[in-house]
Amino acid sequence: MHIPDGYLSPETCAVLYAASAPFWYVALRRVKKLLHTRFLPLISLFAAFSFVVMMFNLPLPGGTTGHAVGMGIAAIVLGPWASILAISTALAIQAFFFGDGGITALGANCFNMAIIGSLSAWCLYHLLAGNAPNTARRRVIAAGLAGYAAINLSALLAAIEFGIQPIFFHDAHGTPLYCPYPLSISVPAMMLGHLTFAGFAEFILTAGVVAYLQRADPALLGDSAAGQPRALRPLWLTLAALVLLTPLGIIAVGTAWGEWSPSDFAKAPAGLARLSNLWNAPIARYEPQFIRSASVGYIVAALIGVALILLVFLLLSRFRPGFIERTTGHLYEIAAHSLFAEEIARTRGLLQPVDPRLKLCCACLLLVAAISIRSWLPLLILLGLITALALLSHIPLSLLSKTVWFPALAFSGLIAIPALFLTPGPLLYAHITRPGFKTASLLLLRVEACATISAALIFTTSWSRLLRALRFFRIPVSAVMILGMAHRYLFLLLRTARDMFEARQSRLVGTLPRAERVRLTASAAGVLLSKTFELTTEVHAAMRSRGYHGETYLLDDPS
Amino acid sequence: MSALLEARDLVVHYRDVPALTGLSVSVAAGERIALLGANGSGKSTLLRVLDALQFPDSGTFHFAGEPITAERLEDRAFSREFRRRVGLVFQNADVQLFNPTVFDEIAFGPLQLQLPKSDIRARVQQTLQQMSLEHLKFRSPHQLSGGEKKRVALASILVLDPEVLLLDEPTAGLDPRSASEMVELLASWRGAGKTVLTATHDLDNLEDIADRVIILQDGRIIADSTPFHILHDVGLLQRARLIAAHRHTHPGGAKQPHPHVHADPLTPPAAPTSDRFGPPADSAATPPIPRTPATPRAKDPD
Repeated sequence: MHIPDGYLSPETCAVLYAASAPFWYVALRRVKKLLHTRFLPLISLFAAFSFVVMMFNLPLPGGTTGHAVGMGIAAIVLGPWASILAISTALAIQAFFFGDGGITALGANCFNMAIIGSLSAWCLYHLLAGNAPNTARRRVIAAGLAGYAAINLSALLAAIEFGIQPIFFHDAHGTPLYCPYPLSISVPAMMLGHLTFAGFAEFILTAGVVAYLQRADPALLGDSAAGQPRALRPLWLTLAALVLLTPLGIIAVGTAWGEWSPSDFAKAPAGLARLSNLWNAPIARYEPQFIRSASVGYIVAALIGVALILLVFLLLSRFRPGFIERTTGHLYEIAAHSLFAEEIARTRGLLQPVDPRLKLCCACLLLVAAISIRSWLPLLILLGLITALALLSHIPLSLLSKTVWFPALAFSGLIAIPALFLTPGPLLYAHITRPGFKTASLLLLRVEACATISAALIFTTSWSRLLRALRFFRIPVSAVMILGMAHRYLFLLLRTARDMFEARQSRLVGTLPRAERVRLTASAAGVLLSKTFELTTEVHAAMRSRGYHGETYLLDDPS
Repeated sequence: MSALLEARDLVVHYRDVPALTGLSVSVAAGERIALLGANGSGKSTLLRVLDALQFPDSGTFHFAGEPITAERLEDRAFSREFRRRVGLVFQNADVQLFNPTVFDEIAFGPLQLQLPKSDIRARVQQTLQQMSLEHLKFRSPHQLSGGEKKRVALASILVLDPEVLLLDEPTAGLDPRSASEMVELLASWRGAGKTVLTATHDLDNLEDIADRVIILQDGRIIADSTPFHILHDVGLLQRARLIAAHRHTHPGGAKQPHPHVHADPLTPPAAPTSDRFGPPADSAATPPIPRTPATPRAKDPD
C-alpha cells in the first residue's frame, strides 16, 4: 500500500501533504503537552518498532504470507496522536532511507496509513472494546477488527487517490497521465487484496500483540502510553469529516463529488469490453446478449484477475523458503542495505561531496519535475541523466538494477500491463491500444526515473547528513530528533527480532503448523513491543541524566 | 569536611521487589569507590538514585549539602547544575547512544546544558581526541563495536567534565584488551580530584580503580573497606557471591581444585552443602569450604 513516486500527480501530492500537515502539527504539540518529556524516545522507538514489524511475515490463508503496517497496535498502545507521529516517522524513514514508498507521495502515504489509519483504528477499538477489562477476550477481537478496518480504510483512500488520477490528469485525447485505472478498477483491485490478505495480516498482528500483552504486560493496554484524548466524539466527527472531504479536497478542481462516476464508468468499460470479449468470444454464441455486455465482461475479467493473483501467490509460496527464513531474510536485507548505502556514501564520487542540503533540494525538485513531465522523451532523458550521475558517484550498475530498477519494473510493470489493453483508443498492435501503450510507458518511465533519483540521493548521502539537511527545510527539531532516534534504534530492534527468530529456528525440526506460526510471529511482535518499552524507559533515563528536560537542541551546521 | 554525596536509609522498590533496603553511604570529594555485589544486589539502583534518575521511597540523598528530590530537580537552573556536576555511564551502552552519530552523541550533553555553540564544538573535538574517537566521528552507533560503544558512552559524559562520575560496569562485555584499556583510563584518574563510583564484578583490577570498596547484598551494604582488606576476606567474597568456592584463580595462575564433600541426597538439607555455584546468597553463615590460602587475586569464574 506504499504509493511509490510517479503514480500520483503533483497536484494530488501537494493536496495530501497539505492535508497531513495540520495533523502532524497538532500531534506534535498535543503529544508533547500530554507526555511532558518522555514522548520523544517513546515515539522514536515505537516508529522503529513498527518499521521492524512491517518486516514480519504473517502466515495467511491459502499458504501465503503478508505483512502488516502496525497502525492498529500503535494506535491502541500509544493513542491516536502519538501513533500518527510514530507511523509517519516509520514511513518517512522508509521513503528517505530505503526508497520504499515515494518521497513526493509521502504525504499521501502518511495521510492514508498514519493519520486515517491511526484515528480509525483507535476509534473503532474503543467503540468495540467498550469498558471490557484489560484482560477480556473482547479486547483481542476488538483490536483485530480495528486493525482490519483501519488498513482497509487506508487502502480505500489509496484506491480513491489512484482512481481519480485518470479523471483529472489526462492528455487532450483522454489518455491517463498517471495511474491509468479509474475508480471502477482501482477500488475493487485494491480492496480485494486488502479485504483478504493485508487485512488479515493486520488482524492477526493487532489481535496477537494485544493477546500477548494481556498475558505479559496488561498495564500497557490500560491507559494509552501517550495519554487518552478526553472525548471520543470529536475524534469520530473529525474522522468522518475527513473521509468524506478528502476526495473532495483532491478533486477541488471544480468537479463535484459523485460527478466522476458516470463519466468514469462510461470510459473504462469501453476498454474492458474489448478485454472481456477475449474471454467471452469462445462461448459467445451460446450466451444471451447481456452476458456480452461490458459490465459483465468487467466482472468476469476481474474474477479471472483475482484468480490469477491467487494462483501466483500459491505457486510462489511453494517455492519460497520457510516462513521464518523469509522474515529473517527481510531483516538481513535491511541491514545489508544500510551497509551498502553507508559504504557508497563514504567513497569519493561525483555527488558525495555535494552539500546535503543542496542535494536534498535538487532531489526534491527533480522528483517534482519527473512527476510533472507528461511526455516520454524528456522523462527518458531525465532517467539517463540521473543514471549517469549515479554511475559517476560509484553506485554500481548491478546494485542500481538489483535494488532499484528491477523491483520498480516488476511491480509497476505488472500494474501497467493491463492498462495496455484496457485504455480505450485506436489499436496499436494486437489488442494493445495506442493510448494504452502511452499511458503504460509513461507510468513505467516516471516510476523508474523517480526511483533512480531517490536512490542517487540515498546512496550518496549518509543518513546523519541527510537528517541535518532536513533542518534546512524548517522541519521542527523534535521531528528531526525523532527521525534520528527511530533510525538509530531501528537497527537494535532489527537485531533483537532477528535473534528471536533465529533462536526459534535453531530449535525447529520440520515445519510448524500454521496456528503455531501465527502465534510465534504475533508473540515475537509482542516481545519486541515489551522490549521497546523497556528501552524507552532506559533511553529516557539516559537522556535525563545528561540534562534533557523536554527541549531539544541541535548543532545546525551540517559538518 | 562534609561529604559530597550523602545517602541515608535509602529504600527503593520496583513494584513489590525491594532493590535497596535501608542503605546509607557517604562519599567525600575525590574518593574513588568500587561497588561490588552479585547481580541484583542493588548496585545499579544505587547509582540511579545518586544520579537523581530515581527517587527513594524513603530515605534522603544530599548532594553537596543540598537535598535532592523530584521537586528540586524541576528547577531548571538547579537541575542543569546537578547534571553538569554528576554524570552516569549506563551499563548498556546502546541505551546511552541515542543520537545519529558519535559527534552528535558527545554534543548532546553540552547542548542540553546550553553552553555556547562554539564552545561546544571545541569541547567535543577535544573529547574526541582525548578518547581517540576522532576517526569514528561520523559513524552511527549501530556501526560501532562493543568496546567503541563503551568509549563513546564514557566520552559523552566526560565532555561535561563532571566532578562525580558514576560508572555502571564499565568493563562488562568487553574483550580483554578493550577491558584493560578501560581500566587504564579509570586508573589514570588517580589523584585527578574526580569522585568516581564504579559498579563492577571485576576483582582483578580493583586496586587500580578504587581506594575504597563497598560490597552490596540484598540492597544494603555488608562491607566497606580498602581493596586490600576486601580481597583478602575470602569468606566475605564468597558470601557476596563474588567468587565461587570451587573455581577461582590463585596467585601464580593455577586453578586449584578444592576437594569438597557433597551432602548425602537422602539426608535433609540441614547439612550445609556447597554446590557449584557457591552458597546461597542469603546464607549468612560461613560456608563449610575447606580453608584455602588467602587470595589476593580471587577471580570470578564468569
